[in-house]
This record gives sequence, structure tokens and C-alpha cells, in this order.
Amino acid sequence: MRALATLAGVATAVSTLAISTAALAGPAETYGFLSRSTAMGGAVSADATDVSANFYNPAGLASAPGVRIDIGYMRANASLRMNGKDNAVDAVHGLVFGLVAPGKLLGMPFAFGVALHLPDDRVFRVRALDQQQPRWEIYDNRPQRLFFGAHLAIQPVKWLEIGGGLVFLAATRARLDITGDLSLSDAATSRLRHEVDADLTSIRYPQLGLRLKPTDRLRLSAVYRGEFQLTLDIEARLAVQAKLRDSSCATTLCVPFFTYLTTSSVNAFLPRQVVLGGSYDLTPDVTLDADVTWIQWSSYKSPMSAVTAQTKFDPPPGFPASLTPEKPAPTVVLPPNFQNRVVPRIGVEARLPLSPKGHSLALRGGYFYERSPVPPQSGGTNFVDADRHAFSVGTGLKLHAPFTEMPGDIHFDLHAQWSYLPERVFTKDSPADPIGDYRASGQIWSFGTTLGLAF
Amino acid sequence: MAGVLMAVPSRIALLGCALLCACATLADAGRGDVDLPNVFSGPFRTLKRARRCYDDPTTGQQFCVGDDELPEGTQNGIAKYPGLPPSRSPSALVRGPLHVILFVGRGKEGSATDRIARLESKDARKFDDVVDVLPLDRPDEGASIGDPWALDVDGKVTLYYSSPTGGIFRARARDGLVGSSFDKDGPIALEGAASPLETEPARAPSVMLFGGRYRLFYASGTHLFEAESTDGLRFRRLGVALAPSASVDPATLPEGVRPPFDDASVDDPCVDRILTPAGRVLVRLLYTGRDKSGGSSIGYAGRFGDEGAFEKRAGFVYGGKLPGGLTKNSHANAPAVARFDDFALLYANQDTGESIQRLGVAISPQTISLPYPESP
Repeated sequence: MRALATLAGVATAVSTLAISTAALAGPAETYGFLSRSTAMGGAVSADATDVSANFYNPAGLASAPGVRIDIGYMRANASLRMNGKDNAVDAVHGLVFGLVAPGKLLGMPFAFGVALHLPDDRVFRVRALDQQQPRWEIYDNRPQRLFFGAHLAIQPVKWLEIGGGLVFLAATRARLDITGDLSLSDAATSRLRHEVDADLTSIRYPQLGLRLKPTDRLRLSAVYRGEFQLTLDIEARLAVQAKLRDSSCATTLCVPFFTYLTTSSVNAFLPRQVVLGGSYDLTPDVTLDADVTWIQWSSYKSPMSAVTAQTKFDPPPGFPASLTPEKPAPTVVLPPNFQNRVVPRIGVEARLPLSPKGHSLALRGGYFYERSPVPPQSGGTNFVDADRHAFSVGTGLKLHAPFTEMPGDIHFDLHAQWSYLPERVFTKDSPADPIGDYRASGQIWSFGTTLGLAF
Repeated sequence: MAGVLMAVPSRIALLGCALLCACATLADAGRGDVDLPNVFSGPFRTLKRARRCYDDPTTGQQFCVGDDELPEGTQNGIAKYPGLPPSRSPSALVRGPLHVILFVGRGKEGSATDRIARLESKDARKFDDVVDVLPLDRPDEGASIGDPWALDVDGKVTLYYSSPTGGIFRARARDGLVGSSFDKDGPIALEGAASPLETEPARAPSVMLFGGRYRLFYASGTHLFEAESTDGLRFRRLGVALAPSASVDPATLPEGVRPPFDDASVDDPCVDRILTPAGRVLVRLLYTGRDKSGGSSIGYAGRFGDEGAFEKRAGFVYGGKLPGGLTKNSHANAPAVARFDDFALLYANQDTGESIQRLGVAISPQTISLPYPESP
């Protein structure tokens, strides 16, 4: 019977992959999710049993002691510089929200969780920059997006928890048709018709987590996050009568002009990741966490738009050659050649009892090191990045049953994180390079607060 | 569990909804791409008079789009200055933010230039302070002088210029860094064996000074050459600096790819030397490239260090096609650059559709806009 129950639990967990939706990473991957876990350096894959488990390890949801709702706010301000000048990389800020609801399913502990990072500026941003334009590839555009996750977790046996979900977000395919009369002498008199047809198509990737509890003081974890990318494909078709003047084709020279343009770009790429973690209670009130994350950056896709163009324009004799459009050369997208990386993380939490009623205060700290996956930019691309040392601190106040209407706990958490990106020098192979050598460095401050209600 | 969920205070749910709604605002496109590194050596974009105003028939009001980057009375890509007599082959000195002094060859319309003029502007685009500073008055200067190159040496503007028959000459300012009157030193000496490719008197000088040594780049025949000096008058030849590109049959090129713009000759060097942010010496060389169909454009080549070969950037950094398609280029030539903190302005001889060329002005990086002060 026990084996059957375990099998049923696993089947249930797997079945959730087909029904739950999630869109993770981006802001959470870069700046953490919810104050407790961020303050501990994100090293919580074996220790997160609150709402943040939706990102760090959904298996931990199964250990949630009760229903809990978290709401908070985060902000990350980057001061990233090239050649000593601040490049005004946009801040990332938004509401964070989450819920975990445990229960029983076929006699097994079971939990459902949702998590949301809702930017208060833009839901997500897509940028297709010139290939040579220097850009902070990791911090400029990728964190600028929505994060929504929903997961299920079960505990088929006391020492094992399994959780998972699917990532879901929209990729964009759009078609733009322009037809009509194009006046070459006075563009304002052109009469053009536009049709736009855009589709948002879903894309998914799996996220799976395991959590083992071999002893009361030790927890181990393994998490797999699939690859994710937002694609933006645009087709543009221009089919017009190019006219020398604003007049009918009976009185001026008209030439049919047709061009077909396609662009395809990838944004917000999230590489495949595997996390191994451990959490150990040094004392009943002090917990030490550690994670190691392998990130498959080598599969990183260039955000550069691949553009193709076909043009048909056969001017008759006498048509001004200076008005003849030039055929553009096709775009050659250079591979980014990012390198796989292992990111170590460590975190610690000390809980101080404040009263016999159960109030407590937690002090937290954490650190992680991300070696830059970006190779030397000696050629035609300028993906700018530097190694990152991130130090974080935080505190959490837990009030147990503070009001008669509130029989559960109130959690109030704060965190601050300082990321230091030491200077990196980029040199070019060619002295004719239009960008030339440059230096890149910076720091990022992020802050956040979370209010949690546990029942 | 449902009962517990229902017990969530409704005020908290209401607060959450209010926060979500309040934050659902439209954002701007974002930034993240300002003050980016660049060697400010092209591609260059012509400054424009691009402000256009329209009457809105529904409201009766006028709305305007675009910026004028040049003052009234000019056309796209042309600086404002007295057009006659024609001025050619500028050299630029920067005296402050947008404060530029140009030295140009000047002469009667339809004939070679016979004097050097000084043009000054506080906005880099409207040169209304114009004075002739160096006449043709030496027998060894022949019938024409031009192609000036100005640099500051020991608190004085030092002017190198050339004559088609007499080679390169030097003059030094009597009024320090103002450069409105000059004493002539006479021709410079080019010592050492001349390359067989050096088929004409040296012309179009460009000089830089570093470590107490002068480095001269000049044109002769179809090539650019390099020479070095300790006193600025007696130079030792170092050899060929830049050669024309090999010709390519346009029919063999992929669609959209231009043939070389400089397969006939290279001319008019404009050189400077910087330390890159990585601490390497970079010599930047803008030049005129001429193709075999009669067009010319501005090209760029660079070199790490003070010796060795230059490497060309593929394609021109300023120019354009002529009627007739990919194989014909414009006639832009004789570049000079004014470099500022965040951009560079290129001055060059530019087609205008008239019989003479005018002094064109362009900017790099191309993404920077430089609205003219009077543009509303």
C-alpha cells in the first residue's frame, strides 16, 4: 500500500506538469525572490518551504506548515559603467506576491503554490539592438519582465518531497502588411494601408525539484530548470506603387515596388540549470544553507535580430537612379559563445526568540559568486558583463497570533543586497573596430520587503 | 483549508488589488544605452535640417516633428559659412564644447585654392568668423596652396600645408593658440629614399606630436606615406602607410555587398593618436578613398602602436551612392575631425548638387542627435 501511495503521489506530481503554469526567472534569477530567501543569498533550494519555494525548489512547498500569503515590493538599482560612465541601466522594481496552500491528497501531504513578480513599469521589454552596440546583456533587458509561477508538490514519504510545474509565457509572431501609393517626392501625400496580425503563442519549460530529509537536521535538494526564451518574429510586406509625384499613375511615373522583410530575435533567454543544495541546522535556532547551480550558458541565443529582405523594383528608363532603393545585405548573427558556469551560494539564518508566546526575530546573511559567462568580446559583438560578488543581509520578525482575529503568524521580512562587479577590460583584435577597447564595472543595490500572513 | 482562506481579511485582499491596479501604468521605453564606448571614427551621419511642421486639420493646430541640427539657410549636411570664394579641405582644432576652428584652403571659384582661411564657430556648425590667414606669396609655393593641417605646438597653432609643385610647408602662428596670423617657415624636408610609389610631391599633410616627436602622414600618387621628425621640419621617411584596396568585380559579390570604395587611390590623411581605455596606443586614420568609377568616400583605418601596418575597416564611414547603384560612390573627400567627449564631428568636402563642393558636417555615433540651439 505504501508503494502504491508513493506511486500515486509521483503520478500526481507528474500530472501537474500538464496543468500548472509558471513563468519563472528573469528578475528572480537575477535579484532573488522574496526577502528571506534573497537575504540568504538564494542558497535555499533545500530550505525554502514558504512561497519562495515556487522559484527555488517547488518540492519545498510540501513542507509548508500552513496556508501562507506573502506580498511585498522589491527594487534593484544598477550603477553599471563602461569607461567610467554610467550607462543608465534601468532599475528593476515591482510587486511580489505569493501563496502556498498545503493539504492532503490521497492521504499524502500536498501543497499548491503560486508566485508573482509584477513589474510596476512594464510587463516585459523586448529590445533588438544593433549587433555591435555594447549592452549589459545580463542586467539590461533580461530582468525586465513578468514572473508568474504555479506549482504543485507532494510528500509521498516523510523523507521525500517532489514538486514541479511548467513554465509558460507568450512568444510573439506578427505580420505587417503595407499597401497603397507611395509618393517619392513628398512622403506626406502617400496613401498607405496597414494591416497588422499578431499572435501570442505559448512556450513552456519544465521545472522539477526534489527535497530529501535524511535526518531531522539535514535537508538535501536537487532542482532542474529547463531552458526558456522569448522569441519575437516579425514579417513585413510592402507592396506599393512608387510614384514620382502626388498624382495619378496616368500623369506621373509609377513603378510597382515590393519588399518582404523578416526579423527574428530571442529575448530573455534563460539557460537550463541544475541546482544541488543542502541545509543543516547547526542548532535548533541556526541554519546553514549552501547551493551549487550549474548553468548551461553555452546554449545562450544571441538577442540580435536576424533580418532577411527581398526586394523587387524594376524602374523604367528615365526613373531617377538616385531614388532607386539599395538592396540591403543580409544580417549575419554572430554566435555569443557564452560559457557554462557553476554558481556557489551560501546563506545563514539565526532565529532569536523574543517572547514565550512565539514571537521571534531572524537575522540572515548570504553570499554568491557568479563568474561571468560572457567570453572576451574581441570581435563584432559587445555583450558586456563582469563577474559578480553579491552580499546580502536581512531580518525577519515573526509575530505569533498577535490579534484575536489573526490566529496564525505575521512575518515581516526585509533584505538588502549589494552586488559588486569588479572591473573587466575588453580589448579588440582589430584596430579598425568601431567600438574599440573598453572597461566595464559596476555595482547593484537591491532592497525588498515582504509581509507574510500564515494561518 | 477553504475556510481558512475565506478568513483572510478582506481589507488585505482589497489592498492587494489596489496596489496591483495602481501599478498598472504605462512605462517609457527604458534606457540602458547611454554613454556607450566608441572610438568616434564612424560611421558618420550627416547633420540634417529635419524639422517638419504640419497643420492638423481636425484641431487647426500645427504640430512639428524632428530636429534641425543645422542653422537656417543651410541644407542637409552642410555647415553654414560664406560659400564664396569656395573653401576646401578643412582641418579642425577644438577649443571647447562645440567651439571649433577650421583652417581651409580658399580660392576663386573654378580654380585651385591660393590661400588658407580660418573659420571659427562656437556651435561647430555656423562659421561666421572668417578671415584669410595665410596668402600664397613664396615662389616655391607655385600657383596654389591648400590642404592645411593645424595642430597646437608649444602654445602656438602650427600649420602644415601643401602645394602641388612644392610639397609640404610649415607656418607658425604669431598669436599663439588664436591662429589668425602666421610666419612661414618654408618647406619641410623629406629625407631618406622615396618609395617608387611616391610619384608626386608630397601633399595633404597630417601631423601628430607625441613624446617630443612629430609623425607626418602625407599623400603622393595613389598611396599614403609616413615620416618622422624631431623638429617638425626635417622628416625621415618611414614608408607606405596605406595602399588602395584591390579591385573586385561587382558581379562576384553577394547581393547588397558593395565593392571597395578605395580601389583607385587613398588620399587626404587625417590622423590622431589616443590611448584606449585598455591602455593601448591606437592611431586613428581617416582618409579619402577613390574608386575607379570616379567616386570618393571617407574611410577609416586603425593601428595599435606607433609602428606597423594599418588595418582598414570594411566599407566607408562616410559617403553615399551616386545615381547608378552600388558601384558608384559620392564625392566626399578631405576629412577633418573635431572630437568632443561623447561624439565626433566630421568636416569634409561634400557634394551639394551645385558645381562646387561645400564643407559638409556629419556626426558619430550616428545615434546622437545634435539639435541646433535655435531649433524650437
